[in-house]
This record gives sequence, C-alpha cells and structure tokens, in this order.
Amino acid sequence: MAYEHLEELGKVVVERCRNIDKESGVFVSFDADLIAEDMKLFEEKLEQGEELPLAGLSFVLADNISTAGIRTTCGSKMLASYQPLFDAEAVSRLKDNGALLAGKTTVDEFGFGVSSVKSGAAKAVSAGAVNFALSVDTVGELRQAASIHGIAAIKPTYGRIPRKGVVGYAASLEVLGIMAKKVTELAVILKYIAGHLPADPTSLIGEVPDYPSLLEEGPAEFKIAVPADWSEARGIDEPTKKIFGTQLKLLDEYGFRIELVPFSYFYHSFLVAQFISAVEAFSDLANYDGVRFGYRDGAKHLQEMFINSRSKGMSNRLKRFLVFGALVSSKKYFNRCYLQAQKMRTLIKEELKTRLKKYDFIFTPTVPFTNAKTHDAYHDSLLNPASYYTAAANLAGLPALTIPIAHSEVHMPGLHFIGSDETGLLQAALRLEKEYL
Amino acid sequence: MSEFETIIGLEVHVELLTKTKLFCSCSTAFGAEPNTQVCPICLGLPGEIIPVLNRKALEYAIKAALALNCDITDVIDFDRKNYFYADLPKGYQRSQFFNPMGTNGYVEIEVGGSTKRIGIKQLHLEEDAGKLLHTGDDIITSPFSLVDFNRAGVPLIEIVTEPDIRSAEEARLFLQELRNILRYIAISDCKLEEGSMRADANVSLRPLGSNKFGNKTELKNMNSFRSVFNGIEYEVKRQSKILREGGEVLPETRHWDEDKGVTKGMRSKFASADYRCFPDANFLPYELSTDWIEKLKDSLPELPLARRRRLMDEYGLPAYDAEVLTSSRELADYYDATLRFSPAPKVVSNWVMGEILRLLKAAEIEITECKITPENLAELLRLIEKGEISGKIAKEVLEEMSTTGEKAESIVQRKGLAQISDEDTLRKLAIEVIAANPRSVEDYRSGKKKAIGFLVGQIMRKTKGKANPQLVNKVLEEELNK
Ligand SMILES: [Zn+2]
Repeated sequence: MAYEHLEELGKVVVERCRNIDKESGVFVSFDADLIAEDMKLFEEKLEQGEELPLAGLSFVLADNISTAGIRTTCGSKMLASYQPLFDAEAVSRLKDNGALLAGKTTVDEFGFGVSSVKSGAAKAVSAGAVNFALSVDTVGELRQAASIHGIAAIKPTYGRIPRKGVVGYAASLEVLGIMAKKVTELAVILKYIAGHLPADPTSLIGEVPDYPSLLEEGPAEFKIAVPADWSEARGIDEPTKKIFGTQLKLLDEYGFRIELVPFSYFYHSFLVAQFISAVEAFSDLANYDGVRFGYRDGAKHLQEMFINSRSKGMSNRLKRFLVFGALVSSKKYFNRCYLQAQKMRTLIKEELKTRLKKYDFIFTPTVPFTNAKTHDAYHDSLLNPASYYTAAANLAGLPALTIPIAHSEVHMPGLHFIGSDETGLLQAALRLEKEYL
Repeated sequence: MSEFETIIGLEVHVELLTKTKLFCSCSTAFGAEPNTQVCPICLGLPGEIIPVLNRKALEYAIKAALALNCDITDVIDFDRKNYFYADLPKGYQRSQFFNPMGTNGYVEIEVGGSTKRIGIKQLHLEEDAGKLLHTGDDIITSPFSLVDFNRAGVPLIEIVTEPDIRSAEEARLFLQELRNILRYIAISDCKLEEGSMRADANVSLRPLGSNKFGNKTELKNMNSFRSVFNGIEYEVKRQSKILREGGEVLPETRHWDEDKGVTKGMRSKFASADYRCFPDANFLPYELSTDWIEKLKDSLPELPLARRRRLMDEYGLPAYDAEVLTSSRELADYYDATLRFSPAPKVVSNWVMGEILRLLKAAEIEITECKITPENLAELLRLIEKGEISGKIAKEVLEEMSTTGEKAESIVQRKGLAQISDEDTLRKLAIEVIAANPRSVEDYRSGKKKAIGFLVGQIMRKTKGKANPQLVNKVLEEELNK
C-alpha cells in the first residue's frame, strides 16, 4: 500500500475528489468527514486483526444505487431528498471488505441514457479520484460512459451481482456493473460483489470464481466474430469506422483470430431494447406517485395529485420515454409492438448464443460515434443509436466488457466484446491491455 | 319476470391464511395499528423491488385449485396489472394473468334436489392492496385521505366462475359451498364480514331461449351471504324493468347499498382502464414440480360434497342431517369420531345437531373447543339405550359434561341420577300416589285417561325425575285397573 495509514489515504481521496468536482461537477453527495470516519473505522478493524481485502481501494456510486441514510436522488427531482433505509447489497459487500465509498455521482434521470456531462462515475474514475465505480447498465449506459471517458467497464451476466437496492428502470435488462482503469481492478471488485443473495431470487446461484487468480490463464488464441455489417450502424461516424477497422487488422498479431460473420438480428437490438425498456420503465417507475415518498405536488384530488407530482417531478425527456412505454404496452399496440419486440429479443439471444458456441467473443466498437458531442446530440432521441452495439448483451443477459483501444484528442473509442462468461472476458481484456494498448 | 333468463358470474377474492405476505416477510395479522406491518418491499420503495414468493401461499393456492377440480399450471409466474391508485404502492399489482394457478374447474351445488355444476373459469394468486380511509364521502371530494398499507401484499386467490349461475339463490348456494370447501382445506377463514372473502357479481339478463348475453353490470360491496342474495335479486328486478320498458342496461359497476336495499351506479373515476398486463421481470418463472402437486392432492381431506354423500349412503342419514353435519369440517369430524364408539348414526346425528349445537351456541364456542369428547358422547347415548338414564336426565348430564368434561357415567353415579327401574320400588310409590290423589284416580277411572299424566308427574317429582317413565306408566296402569 502506498500510504502508511488509511486515514492519510482518505485525505488524498478527499482532495482528488474535490478537484475533479470543481473541474466538472461530479458529485451529488460528498462528505469529507464521513470519509475520515470510515477510514478510521477500517483502521481499527485492521488493528483488531479483521481481514479487509479491499482496504485502500476507494469508489464512487452512481446516484441510482441505494445508500442507507445518504441521499439517493436518481438524478430526479422526484427523489431530490430521498434517503434509503438500506445500502444496496453490492455496497454492503464492498464496505464489509474495506472499500471506501467516496461519494455519490451524477446520473441521467433514473439512469436512463448517458450524457457525457452526467456520467459522474466515469469522470471520477477517469480522473483517478477513486479506483473504481459502480453504475447501472440497462442498455449499455455503463459501458458507453466508460468508453466516452476512456476507461474499462464490465457488465456482468444478468443476475451475477444482486440488484437489491439498485433503483433501475427496466428490470429484465438492468445489471450492476463496474468501471475502473485496469482490468485487474474489475476482476478484484467483481469477485467481492458477485454471488447469490437469497433476498434476490433473480441473482445467480453458484460459486463465484476467483477472477483475479484466473486472469493470466486462458487459451493462446481467441476466436472472434465481428458482425459483418458492423460499419453500417445507425449514426456511425467516419473516425469510428477508421479506428475500429484499423484495430481489427492489428489484433491478429496478438492472438485474436478475427472473422467477419453474418448476423441477422443483432443490428435491431438497440431498437428492440428501446421498446422493451420503455414498457418496463412505464411500470418500474410507477411507484413514484407522491403518496409514500418523494416529490408531491398540490392537487384538488388524488388523480390530480398523481398527474401533478409526476408531471413536475420528472423531466420531459423521461416522460416522453414513459409515454412511449405506455403506448407500446397499450391494448392497441401490445401484439403489434410489445410482443414482436419480445420475439425479437428471443431471436437476438439465440443468435448470440449460437455465435458464442463457435467463437469466444463478439467484437464491435462500444459506441458508433467517437465524439462526446455527437453522443449528447442523440441523448434526447427516443431512437438513440448510442446503444447500437451494447443493448444486445442486455437483451440476452450475457456479460460484456469495454476497454479503450486508441487515444485521440477528441474521444477515446472503446472496444466492446460480448462473451459467455466473465472469466473469459477478463482474460482476453487483460491480454489486450498488457500486450497491445 | 319470467320472460328473462338471469345470467350470473361471480368473482370471488379470498385472503389466504398465511402468516406472512405474498412477497415479503411482513405479518398478515388482522387488526394491527395502521402501517405497522410494512417493509420497503410491500411499500414499493425505490430499489426494493424484488419479490421472494411465499411458498405457503403457493401451496394454499394449489390446494384450492385442486379442491375446485382445476387443471394446474405447469409454470409459476407473475404478471403486473398496472394502474395508479393510492392504496397500490408499486403502481401495479402482481397477479397471474397469463398462467393462472388453475383453470377449467367446477363446484357442485344442490339446487332443488338435484346437483348442478358451476364452472370455475380460473383461479389465480395475487397480492392485495392497502386500505383507504376518506375524510369525506369519496376520494374526489375528501380534503384528504388516509392510507393503511398493512393489507398491501397480503396473498389473495381470485376465483372466477363461468356464467353458469341462474339465480340469486344459486349464487348464495355456490358461495356457501365454496366457503365450505376452502374452510375444509384450511386455506382461508372466508369471513365475508371481515373481508377475508369478497364476492363481486356480474349480472345480466337475456330473453328466454336466447343464447346471446345481454349487457352486464358488476355488483360490488356485498358483505354477507344475505347481501349477495338481496343485491342480485334487486339487480335482476331493476334490469328486467329496464328491459321490459324497452330500455338498455348500462354496462357499469354498481354498489350494493345494504341500508337502502338498492344498487347504485358508481362514478367512474378511471374510465375503461387499460391495465397493460405483462410479465413481471423481477419474478423468474419456474416449473412446478408434479410430485409436489401429487402430494398436495393426496393431502386434501374429504370435501364437503363427498362427505355429505357418504353420510347419506353409508349411514342412511336424511339430506338435511348430512347438510348440517358437514357444514364444517370440524363438526363432520366430530360426528365421524362419535360413530367410532356408537352403532346408532341417526341417534348420534340427532344429538349432535340438537343438544351439542345448542350447547356450543349458548357457550359461543366452536366444536373444537367442546369439552364433550366423541367417546363420552357415545357413552352417554349408550346409557340411554340401556335404560340407565332417561333422555331428560341425559340432557342434564350432557350440560354438566360440557362444562366439566367429566364422563357421563361418573356424573350419573356421583349425582345418583341412575334411573329407578326397580318394579317393586315404583309399585310402592304408585300405590302411595294413588292413595293421595283420589280425584285424579276418579277421573281416570271415569274415562279421562289423560289424568294418568298427573300421577306420573307425581312419581317423577318424588324420584327427582329418575324413575323409568315406561315402567312408571306400566305399574300405574296396573294398579289403577285393579
Ligand atoms: Zn412487507
């Protein structure tokens, strides 16, 4: 450990966090005293001989992950002063192992979409203020934010990390994911927060592999499928085509055997995910009615209270999305849109699984555009192509990972790969990180 | 009235007798302080979204579906019925929309001496909502309303019948039989008054001979069997009046007003809701084990109808007796248990239906709390049969048994209640009585045979009721006719 005392390290974290916050507004909640207290507590525990394998590591949480007694706003007026009663399960697991929570960072409202300004977690990690961050990935937000800010991120298999305490918007898609600069850090953190929780039957049962110790293993060569029409992505820009195209040729040298493979359904995944997530959001966000907690607006009667509270408590962008979800699931469109989207989801899942029987990974760019400004320009669109490459993994529940592949002045595009399990993804990512980047 | 046929379908909600709620571990106990039996999950707090299914509730729902002769689903999953209301914490209710627990079942009822089958369209498991308390007349006009979430998330089953019911009386009979069945399998206490059983009725009329359904109204707020009967009766009259006058029945929800004895159209707050039912992604569907279903099937007790038929076939009881004795599983068990010690089914039936039920009612207790064991009741009846005590004395003994739990024989001995059947003793008494009542003797001898009653009474008084009545009659007659 670089610092003799955790308390000393805590002060460094505080200063770094303050700097990045001043620079680009990262934090929703930040409390230097709390950091000092926590570090003191960890020190005492260590002195008493308790094992804290994550002591010395600090992290931030996107503000749609519950923290007991600390405001969890979800980036919404609706929850501007909401304080959860419990920590999210992943947060308690991190704290129990000695990791320091430095603060809560900005998110787009309820984690829906990613704008470069609101991805506070990625900014904090990218600036080196903390070692890692937890954030929610529903159609690829975590991986896109990591890509925009030039860091690595893993979106594990659906259910790998318990979702208890995650305030999501689309239950069948969302997972907790990890951002960090180094692949090793992703592996270490995943090891400690993965694993079944009886109170969350959607979390996966089974032993959690010791990811860090498996990192160096793996085959000498990886077989890679690249969707043949990857460069036809909606909204794709020239720099992305160029950078990704060049990298594909170079990768062969490092044991990645690339093959362009036809895909039929993959290319529709971002639209399918948009339909499904909108329907789920319409229902998942229905508990924000002003009755029991959160923002409540005045009204003459109950129905008006619902309408006023939700109208004023949520942004137009979110409301448009919820209205879209209400429409897709309405009697009129249920069969025509919702059921069709579900059928497409099954086809996409089957297609990915079939490909992953023959190939180790599916490689694509993480986002179709290299420029954060383009990213933000699409932000308000219901047909945002930012999740063109990322949403398929959410639809199929498969793990995916992004690492930065090139460093340009404008933007650092990420390399995105979908695999069958986290161990394989981390092994390949480490190989790339060590030998290639 | 007779030109129309009445078509009724019922939707019955039944609260299950589980100790905890359907998806969290909060208590379901009735009558607690408002909002004391709640947690982040049943309050729908942010991030507290993942349900853990109560296996007991699942078991109860399967048992109910089996008892109603339903086909059981092979996949358990839950759907969301989405709507906004202050008593609905999550903004949706979890229910089984696409894969109900049971389908295609039936209940048999006895109508006018014959058996009629009422189809069960489906039975599904779902969660209850909270309770609203308005400070004014309703939610729109109240300055504010209070809400108690203790009931939110309590497991319910909803039973939907086919439109097979043809009268208010059939509806009442069906509900009684349904309640009886569900109580037999011990999954609900089915109290209409407390709301643990709630019935809504879809009522419509059509011209006799027609096979098209007319517009239906949905009747709500019927809190007793009587109000179900009265509400439907009223609604049938109301609709037939409209139809006879050439009008059209408005398809709407109507409230039964018990005090005024009328149904009233309810202001539609949320016009024709679209509930957008779709699967709840937070519940992972899984396959039901067929072994478990078989086990549950085997564990079902003999159900009321089968039991009624058995009592009639095996013991030759009249239909009325069988009906009364099977009105609860516990009573029927008591009857069956008594018969293990007694060879006289009809005698036991008379005593259980008469004296036992009277004593229970007077003491306001259930048969399960009764201190008279089946064995002791049988013993008492044996004493009567053997002529050791009279029926009248037996009633006194039974009353004593019901408070102390003592055996009949010991009470009879301790109190010296054994019947006097010794002819010499009784003859001596008869001679005394005849000597002391010349007037009655004269009446008797002059043809007023009834006068003997007075003399019998005198002997009974002298023996404190213990004299064997047949024998008293016999010796008196002999002495009088000497
Ligand atoms: Zn609860």
